[in-house]
Amino acid sequence: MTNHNTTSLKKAILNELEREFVLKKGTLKDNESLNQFTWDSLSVVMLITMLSKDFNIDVDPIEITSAETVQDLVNIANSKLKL
Amino acid sequence: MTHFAKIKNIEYVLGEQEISDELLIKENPTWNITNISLKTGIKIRYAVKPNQCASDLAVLAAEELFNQANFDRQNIDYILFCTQSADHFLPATACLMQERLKIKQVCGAVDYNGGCSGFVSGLGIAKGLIETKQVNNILLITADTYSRFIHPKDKSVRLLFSDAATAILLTNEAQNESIGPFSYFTNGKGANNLIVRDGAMRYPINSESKVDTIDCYGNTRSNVNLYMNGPEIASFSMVSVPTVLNKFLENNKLSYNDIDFFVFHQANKHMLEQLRCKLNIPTNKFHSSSCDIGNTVASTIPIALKRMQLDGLLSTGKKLLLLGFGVGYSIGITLINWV
Repeated sequence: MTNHNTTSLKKAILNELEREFVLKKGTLKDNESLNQFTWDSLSVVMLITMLSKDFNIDVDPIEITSAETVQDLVNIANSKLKL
Repeated sequence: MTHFAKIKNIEYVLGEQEISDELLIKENPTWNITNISLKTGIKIRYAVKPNQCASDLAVLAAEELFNQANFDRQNIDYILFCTQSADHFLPATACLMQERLKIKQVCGAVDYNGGCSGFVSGLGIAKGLIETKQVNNILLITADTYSRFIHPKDKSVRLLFSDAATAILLTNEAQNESIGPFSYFTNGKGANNLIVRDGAMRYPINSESKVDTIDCYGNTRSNVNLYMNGPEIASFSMVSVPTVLNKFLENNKLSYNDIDFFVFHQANKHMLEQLRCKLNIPTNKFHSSSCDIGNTVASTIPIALKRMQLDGLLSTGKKLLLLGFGVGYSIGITLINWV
């Protein structure tokens, strides 16, 4: 997988999370815990559909809800990025 | 003499209780409803009164159909009733419709449990009945009252679904094939992701059935309420719909350019937009504006067709691809050559 793809994937995930949790753009850090945010099922849907639409990545919803940090989520998505 | 099935008329009725964002915010101040409505595109939900059934909406839709189509109901040979909210376990609600609509007794009447792909399935069944010359004219009804399954404190579904009924008149008057081909897909592994668990034969009502529980997102429901695992449904939709659709087009030697309009099950605006982008379908060919009235289950596609017709979009010869997807899991696809 190219560095360009992984970089843009990480950026897209951070953007999506910041939008979903109404955070100032650029403030979310890799090591931040996801447990501090209030997820609802629609938040998970937004992430799943974005990854599928923009990166052709299919992530199991359970994997998203089991991720503890932002970086965990990025790693999960990266592992499914098709060459 | 030709004997091809065609869609002759469509009418629809929505539940008469309007549930606005304002009403929901008043009841549930902690729900971020405005934000959710922006994403789903749903402006108002519609619900039946507490003692109203899907069949009550269906009668209204059918009467409107007979009136608008100027069609003698005594020429109906078959009633197909698509519902997941039947009046009784038995008899079929379609039989009750025969009596309530005063349709002749020399008539078939069956229910089928179709859900989001139910309209496409109904077209397939109707085409088979008509084009094998078993019958000439069919009253196809889609009707659901999900509001009666939904717990008022379950945000995951309360904001999404509406009650409605559609009545569709199918006749044998088409000169050429107007409906079809078809493709169907089923994956029962997804059954538990959109379900009303208790109350039928597998899990009859017991002392635990109506006990409320709260899920990890703070939604309240019991086993007699509708449960929808939105993320799993979304995941299924984003994977299976493109796969099945592309296979359908390939098998029928069609390209996206051959289709004038794609009319998918109007689940919600966000889901449709994600699918449209993934499939690279231009916006002017993709109908999604019927999401504003909420997810009416099997009725979303016929309601969309009626609205498109009223907007003057459906002229003779237009090629429509209808795709229902959801509960089951199930997907149904068909082509309509509009006549």
